[in-house]
Amino acid sequence: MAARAGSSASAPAPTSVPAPAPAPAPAPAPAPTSAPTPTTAPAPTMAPAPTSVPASAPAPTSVPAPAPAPAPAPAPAPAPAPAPAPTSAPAPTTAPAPTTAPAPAPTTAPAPAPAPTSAPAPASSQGGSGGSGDSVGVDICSLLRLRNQMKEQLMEYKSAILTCQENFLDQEIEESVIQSATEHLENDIEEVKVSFHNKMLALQRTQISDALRNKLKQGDEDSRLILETMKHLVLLSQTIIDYQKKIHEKEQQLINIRRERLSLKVYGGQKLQQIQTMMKRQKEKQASMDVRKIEKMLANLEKEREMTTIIQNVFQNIIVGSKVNWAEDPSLKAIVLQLGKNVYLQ
Amino acid sequence: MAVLRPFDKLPTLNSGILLLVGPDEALQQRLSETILQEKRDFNINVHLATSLPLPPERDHLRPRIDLIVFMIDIKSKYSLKKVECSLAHVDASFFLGKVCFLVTGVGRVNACSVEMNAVCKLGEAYCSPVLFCELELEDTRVATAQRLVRMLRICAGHIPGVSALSFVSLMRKSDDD
Repeated sequence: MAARAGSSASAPAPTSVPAPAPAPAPAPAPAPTSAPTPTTAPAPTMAPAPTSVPASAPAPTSVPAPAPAPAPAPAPAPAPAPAPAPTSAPAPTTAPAPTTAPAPAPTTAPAPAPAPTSAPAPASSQGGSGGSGDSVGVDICSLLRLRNQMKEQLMEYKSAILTCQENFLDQEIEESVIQSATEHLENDIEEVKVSFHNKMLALQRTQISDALRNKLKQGDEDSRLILETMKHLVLLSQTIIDYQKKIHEKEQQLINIRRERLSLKVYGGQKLQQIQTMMKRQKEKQASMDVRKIEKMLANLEKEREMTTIIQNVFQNIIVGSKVNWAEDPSLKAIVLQLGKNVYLQ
Repeated sequence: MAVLRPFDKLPTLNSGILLLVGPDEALQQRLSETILQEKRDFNINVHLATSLPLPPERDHLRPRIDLIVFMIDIKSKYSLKKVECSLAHVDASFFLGKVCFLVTGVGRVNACSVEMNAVCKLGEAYCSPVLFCELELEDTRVATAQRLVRMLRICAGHIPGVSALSFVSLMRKSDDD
């Protein structure tokens, strides 16, 4: 592991060679102390470089036990190889970078080229993928795998070069245009994926049905079972279809009943409203009728009272005019005396 | 150099280089240990950094970086800020599938101080997948390590027919219209 190898290798490093602590760890602490050393380190340690290079590749990753020993030595070994590269890499822009980077690299290519080819050998044996225990023996599977990897990486670099070659600075780039373009492209990708998937499914289905048909033609135990299963399947699907039809019918009936219920509800509501209005009207009529009746009765009463007073007055006048001694007769007295009351009433 | 570029160097044979960027060094150590314990048939180099840019003194010793994983701790806004500052030092062509955001510490829901919204927006802005994980627990750490190893294989170009660019299109949500 990179950082752990760094901490364990920093102890032997100051004693043997003032080489930088293992290259991969970008820890800021050791960096300033080792910054001046790479320029001086490569010169004295060039001699042991080729022999220790094969062990450099697996050193950072595998068991820490072999790491401390080869760690200080291989650290300067990759230094001379990419050393010419950074001098030219910062200068060019990204466009020529992949094209010029290989230019200084081929000068050092012979050095790293034989190294990595032998590096996978111990890598595979140490990583435990290769079958042979030789340090040099590499089996064909890993070679093919490496070949595929390199092909894929080459394709990536090619597409990176293509993207860099496209010059976007001539025209103004609108973000909306790019976004719509990406959406279109992504939709295309989705459509292609989906159609491919569907075609695969259809293909698999035809393959399966063909295989089934061939199998059934053979007419042995398995095919009999298959035939029975298929017949059972057909029967089950038939019953399912029937049940679903019945369900559908029942649902329709249910819907009809609900509709009728709704219409009945509406009708009932209307009727109730009619009843309410009618009752209201009746009450009003009653009230008005009562009022009229009372008025009539009062009028009658008044009339009768007036008539009785008139009749009484007439009677009194008759009695008084007839010069009869009405004080002796109690009934006549009562009639004449009542006049006062009537007069008082009027 | 100050800016990390994906194709500036030649790739190392049969290996994948992973760069973990995040302010929490102990978590990075544990995650990288778990990653290196994964069964695999290619070499993995794990580089740890608290922030970018990487010190330029050792730049010629560094191999080509295949996958950058920015680790954001959901319990500290400081990690989000540091990651955002480090993003400026990564070349734009890296974001075509070679960058991944790893949000750690999602097990403790009541200690979140970084909003999910902010993290998801970051992932959308940079067109990179956002993985949520909990590195304290063994199981999820192993699962995260497996996912990262698989992503690393694709980004390093080991899988024929699948390139890192496919991460961008695979990330589209189905309800996006």
